Amino acid sequence: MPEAALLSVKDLVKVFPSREGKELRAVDGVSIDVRRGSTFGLVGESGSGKSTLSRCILRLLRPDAGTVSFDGQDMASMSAARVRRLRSRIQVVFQDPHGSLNRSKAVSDIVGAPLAAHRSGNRAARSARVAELLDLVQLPAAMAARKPRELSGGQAQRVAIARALALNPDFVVLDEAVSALDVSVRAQILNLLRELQGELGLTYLFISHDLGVVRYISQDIAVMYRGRIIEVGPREQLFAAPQHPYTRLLLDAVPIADPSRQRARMRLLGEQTGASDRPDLPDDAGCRFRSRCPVGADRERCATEDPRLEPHAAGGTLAACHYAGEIS
Amino acid sequence: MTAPVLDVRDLQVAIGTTPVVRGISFQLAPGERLGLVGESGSGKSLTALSIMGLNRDPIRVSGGQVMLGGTDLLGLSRAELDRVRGARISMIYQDPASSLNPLMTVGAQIVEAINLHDKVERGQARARAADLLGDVGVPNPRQRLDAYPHEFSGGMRQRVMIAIALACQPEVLLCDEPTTALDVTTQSLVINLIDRLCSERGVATVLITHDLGVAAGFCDNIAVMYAGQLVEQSSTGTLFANARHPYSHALMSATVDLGVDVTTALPAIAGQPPLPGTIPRGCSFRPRCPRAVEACADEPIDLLSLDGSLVRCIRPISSDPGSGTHPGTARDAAVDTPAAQERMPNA
Ligand SMILES: Nc1ncnc2c1ncn2[C@@H]1O[C@H](COP(=O)(O)OP(=O)(O)OP(=O)(O)O)[C@@H](O)[C@H]1O
Ligand SMILES: Nc1ncnc2c1ncn2[C@@H]1O[C@H](COP(=O)(O)OP(=O)(O)OP(=O)(O)O)[C@@H](O)[C@H]1O
Ligand code: SF4
Ligand code: SF4
Ligand SMILES: [Mg+2]
Ligand SMILES: [Mg+2]
Repeated sequence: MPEAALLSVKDLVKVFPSREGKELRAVDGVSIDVRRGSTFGLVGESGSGKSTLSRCILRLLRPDAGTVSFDGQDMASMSAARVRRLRSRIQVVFQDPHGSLNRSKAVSDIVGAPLAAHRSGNRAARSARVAELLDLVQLPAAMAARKPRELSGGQAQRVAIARALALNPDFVVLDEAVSALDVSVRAQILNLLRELQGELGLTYLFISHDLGVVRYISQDIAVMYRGRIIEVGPREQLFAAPQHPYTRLLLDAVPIADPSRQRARMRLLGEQTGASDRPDLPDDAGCRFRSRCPVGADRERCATEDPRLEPHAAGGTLAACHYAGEIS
Repeated sequence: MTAPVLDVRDLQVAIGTTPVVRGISFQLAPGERLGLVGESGSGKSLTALSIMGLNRDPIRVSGGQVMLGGTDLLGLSRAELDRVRGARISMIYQDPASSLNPLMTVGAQIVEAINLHDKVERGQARARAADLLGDVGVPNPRQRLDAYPHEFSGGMRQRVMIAIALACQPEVLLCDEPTTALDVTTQSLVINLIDRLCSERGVATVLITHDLGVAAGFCDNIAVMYAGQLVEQSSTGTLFANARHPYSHALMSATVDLGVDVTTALPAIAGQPPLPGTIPRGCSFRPRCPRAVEACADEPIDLLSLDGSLVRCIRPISSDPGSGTHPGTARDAAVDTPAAQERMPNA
C-alpha cells in the first residue's frame, strides 16, 4: 500500500444471496487506495456496487472477502473500542438524505447528535457548533427547530452534510451528497468541502453520477461497472485519455447545457443505449461489458477471457480491457 | 395552441399561515415538456405535490386552480381525486425511499399501478411489470420483480418509481428529480423513454431538475422558480441563449461542466434565499441581486412578457447577448403586451 494512503481496500468482495439461487456479486474484487488529504471520486453504472463498497468500508456490511485498512490498520482485526474511536474520525453522508435522518428529531438534535454521542464540549458549546455548521452548509438558523419532513430535498441533504462534518472527521464518505442541490448551493458546498480539505486535511470518498462535479473535486477517479472497477487513474489522464470503452461512453453521455446540441446527442444516445433484457453478468467467462461494447462485441478474446485491471501503453490509467484505448 | 391538458392558475400553497408557493401559473399542451428549475427550497416539490392533491397538514393549497381537462382538481373529493391520480396524472417523487412500500416486492408495487389503470390477468400484469423494469434498464427484470426495495440500489429504486408512474399511462406526468441517482447513460435511457411518451402518446410532462444539461435536452420550455414564484419562463433555447432575469442568469452561470477550472473556487450566488414568511418587500431576489436599484424595493414585481418570455424583473438583462449593461425596463417593454395573468384563457 502506498505510504500516503489513509484508506486502503484490497480485493473486496460482497455477495448478496439472490432469489433464484444464483448469488449476486455486488462488489467483485475491488481494490482502491485513497491518499490522505485527497479526494477519491467513484463513478459508475447505477447498481454497480458503489454504495455497497462504501458500506463495507464503513463496516455497515461485512465483506465476504478482502480487507479494509484505515491508517495502516486492518479494520477487521481492530478491537471494538478502537473501532468506536475510529467512528468519530470516519463519517458518511448517505445517498438518500431523507431516509438517513431520524424523523422524530429536530435538525439541531440531528446535527448535534455526533457531538453529544462523543461528549464533545458542554451543551452551550455544542449548540454554538450546531449553529456554525448550519451556517457552513447555507441553512438559515431558523431551520434548526424543523423536523426532517419539513425540509426540501436539498435542505435535508445539507443537514446530513452538516452532521457528517460535526466532529471534524478525517475521512468522509459522500454518497451522492450534492445531487439534490441547485447549482449555486452545490457550488457553495463543493467550495466548502475543498476549503475544509485545505485547512484540515480531510480525505473524501466522493460518489456521484455527476462527472463534472467529480472531475472538479477529485484527484483520483475510479469507474465501476457490475461490481468491478474497470478504470482508475488520476483525473487528468482519465478525462483526457479514457481507455475503457465504458468510460468513453460515460464521458460522451454527460449532458451539456446547450439545447440544440444536447437534443441531438440525447436522441443519438437513446438509440445506442436502448433498453434490453440485460443479465447482471454474462454466463461465460468473458468481459462483463461485452454486450454493450462497441469495440469488443465480436471479438473472440472478449468472450473467453475476463480482462484484468492493468496498465496499458496508451494512457496513464489502469483499465480492465483487452483492447484498452482502441477507438471504436 | 391546442387546449391545455393541464392549466395551473395562480396556485398558492401555505404552511399554516405562511405562504410558500406564491401564485404559480402555467399551462401544458398535450405532449409538451416543461422544465421547472430553481433554487433548493423554492417550492418546486410543493407545487407538484399540490397539483397531485398530496399535501399533508400543515401544508395546504390556499388559492388558485388546477384544471385537468375541464375539471378543477382542487375541488374534487378524496375519492374522486383517487380515481384521477394514477389513471390520468401521476408523479415520480423526489424521495424514492419513502414513496416505495418497504414491505411489498417491487413487482407487486408495479403490478398494483398497472391494475389501477386497467385490470389484467396476473401473469400478464407481471410480464408487463418486467417489461417496464427492463425499459428503465434494470438487469434481469423478471427475477428482480420479487426483490424488496432495500435489495435495490438507490438508482434502481428511483427507476422502480419511474416504472410505477409509467405503468399508469397518465396524460400528465410530474417528474420530481427523476434521475438524481442515475449514471449518465441510464439517465439518458430514462429521459429518452419519457421523451418518447411525450411525442408518441402525447403525455404532457413537468420535469423538476437541478441538472440544466438534462433540462436543455428534454424541455420545450423552462420555468425558473425563486422563493415561491416563477421569475422567468421561456422557450428552452431562449433561456439558455439569453436568460433575462438576474437569478436565472446567475443560475445558468453556476453549472459545473467538464470544462470548469478545477484550480479555483466555483462561482456561486452570494447570500441565501429568503425563508418563507420573511420575503423582502419588492423583489424577492433584491438582497442578492447585482443589478438591484432602489425602485426594486418599492412594490411587488409582476411577471411580465418580454420578447416572448415572461420575466419578473424591472431591470432585466439586455436581450443583446454579451452586453448586460443597458437595461430597458420590463415595464416599458410590456406596455402593449398583456401581463402574464391576463394570458390565461377563461375556462
Ligand atoms: N412540512 C413542512 N413544514 C414546513 N416547511 C416545509 C414543509 N415542507 C416543505 N417546507 C418548506 O417549504 C419550502 C419549499 O419546499 P419544497 O420541497 O417545495 O422545495 P423544492 O423547491 O422542491 O426544493 P429542493 O430542490 O431542495 O427539493 C422549503 O423552504 C421547505 O423548507
Ligand atoms: N441488501 C441487499 N440485498 C440484496 N441485494 C442488494 C442489497 N443491497 C444492494 N444490493 C444489490 O447490489 C447491487 C449494487 O448495489 P449498490 O447499492 O451498491 O449500487 P450503487 O452503485 O450504489 O448504485 P446507485 O448508483 O444506483 O446507487 C445492486 O444490484 C443491488 O440490487
Ligand atoms: S475487453 Fe473487450 S468487451 Fe471488454 S471492454 Fe474491452 S473491448 Fe470491450
Ligand atoms: S427587480 Fe431589481 S432586484 Fe429584482 S431581479 Fe430585477 S434588478 Fe434585481
Ligand atoms: Mg448507491
Ligand atoms: Mg424538491
